[in-house]
Amino acid sequence: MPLDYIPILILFVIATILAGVSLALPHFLGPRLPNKAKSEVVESGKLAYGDARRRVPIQYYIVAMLFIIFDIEVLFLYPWAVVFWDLKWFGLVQVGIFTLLLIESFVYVWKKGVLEWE
Amino acid sequence: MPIEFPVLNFVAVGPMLAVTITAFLVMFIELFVEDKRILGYISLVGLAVAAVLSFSLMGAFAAPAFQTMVISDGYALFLNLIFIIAAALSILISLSYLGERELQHGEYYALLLFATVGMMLMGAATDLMIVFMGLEIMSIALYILAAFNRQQLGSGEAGMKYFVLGAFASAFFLYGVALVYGATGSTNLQEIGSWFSVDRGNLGDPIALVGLGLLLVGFAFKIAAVPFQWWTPDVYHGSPTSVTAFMSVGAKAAGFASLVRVLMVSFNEAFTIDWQLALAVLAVITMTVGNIAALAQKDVKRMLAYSSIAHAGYILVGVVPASMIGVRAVLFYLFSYTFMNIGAFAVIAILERRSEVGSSIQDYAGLASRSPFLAGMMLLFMVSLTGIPPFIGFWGKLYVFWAAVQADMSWLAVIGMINSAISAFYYLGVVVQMYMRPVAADEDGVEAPAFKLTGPIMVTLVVTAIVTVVFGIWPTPLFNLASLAAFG
Repeated sequence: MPLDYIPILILFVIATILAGVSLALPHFLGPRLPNKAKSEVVESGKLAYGDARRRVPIQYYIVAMLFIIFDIEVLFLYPWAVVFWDLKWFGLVQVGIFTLLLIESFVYVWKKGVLEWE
Repeated sequence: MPIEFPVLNFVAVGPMLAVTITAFLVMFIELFVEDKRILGYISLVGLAVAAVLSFSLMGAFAAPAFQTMVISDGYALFLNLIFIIAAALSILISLSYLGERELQHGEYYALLLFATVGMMLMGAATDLMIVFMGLEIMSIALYILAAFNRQQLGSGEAGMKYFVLGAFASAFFLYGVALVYGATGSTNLQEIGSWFSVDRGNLGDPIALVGLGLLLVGFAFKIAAVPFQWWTPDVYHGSPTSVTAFMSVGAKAAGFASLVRVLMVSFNEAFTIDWQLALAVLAVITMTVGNIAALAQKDVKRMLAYSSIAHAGYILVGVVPASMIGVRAVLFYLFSYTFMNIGAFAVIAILERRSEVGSSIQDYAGLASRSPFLAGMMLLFMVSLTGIPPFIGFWGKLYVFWAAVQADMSWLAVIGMINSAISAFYYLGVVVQMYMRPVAADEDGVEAPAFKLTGPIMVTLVVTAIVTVVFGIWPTPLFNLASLAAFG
């Protein structure tokens, strides 16, 4: 039984060697021409300003988090829509309960004042 | 292509559904009411419905549900009752305790109910993935509850420590599930068990053994067994007392519930010798370390945290024999521990000063003269936790040790009894403070405030006291109920 795992071990060894070689080769062979632009922060071509430890409004995080949660939950509706007719009432009831919970959490979030920006 | 509909059997998960729906209702109603205490009462109604459903399912055919993911057998239903009682009693404590600290929020009750659902799921799960799901539902709710008193540093510390270490333990558990799956090709407890059967010649599979070891680590963390107990004192000490009461009994019972089921169903034939040895060692060091550390405590809440570690050791003694007698003793012990411990925490909740975390032993000095009723209650719970007859704690210990003796492990029972003797020192130390020491003078010369004995917390005290005494004098009905629930 443990013998079946030999390929994984081999893969592990090959991966380690490959990673090591691809790190070592540029280190020894590559030319080095340091300049100021190279040591700056890279972020999609934008010039860096200030430092990363800034205060960001908390609403930004909360709204972003809520967006992700609701976005992903809505994703569940797509596969259901594809097999809607095959699932008949069973699927409708299940998705109905699901949607009800989604709406409840939306009402909860709204009433708690999470969506207010000020 | 027609779709094949799964057989779900919602009836079998009725109690869980009832509690889940109540939790959602509580969160919804919370938006529209000013006085949040009403949510506590709604939660109690939901728990009562779940208890009735559990009772009505008892004795019926133990039907598997959701394609053998869960089962509602007597074992799961008996544990349901423990979880429901633990939740209800701590809600009753919360109704008084939270109000004094301006922590009365609806989310508290919803989270407590969600944690209860997770526990029930752990008791009923017959698949390692569902065990893990129940574990996470319970744990995540408890992490938040531990940090609920967010104005106090200690509470935030408790939540953070519990979260970081708990997540770590969950990872161990999940890795164990992965290895067991890798070895046996299934996460279903029954199928894992039959894969190991003698005629299939898979007895000593090393990968499965490593997986079992990792599963044990995950469970040992949840039941607070040494050497995975480091979080316990800080978390129990820092959390709001009503939460400590709940998780010290509920999370422990849930951990034991699925530990026993996993070991007895999946690993009963092939690895019994291995885990018996591991758990026997765990039991001995858990009892000893818990009791000796408790001796040194100056804070009653912290002392009870160490004592709960010691109690995990006693209960492990009942798991080690791998017999039906042992399982029955574990169930009886968990039931009795629920009442004694929540009762003791209810007294702590009343005595706790509003401004600080925990309850110093000095606050108990001379309690007998300030409030004979509270002192009497604390005396009762301390004596019962020590295991002195005729209280319920005595029978719990007796059955557990008896199970060890029956399985030719008398040495384990002897170590347990020595440990019980050690525990008498610190339990009775509280009693000595209450009855034989004068009231400690406050530094500022301010007279100690009078106790507020509000209705709900009184109900908790009276109920736990009555159960501790009545089942202590006459344990037969409870014992019979545990016998019906046990398997093995």
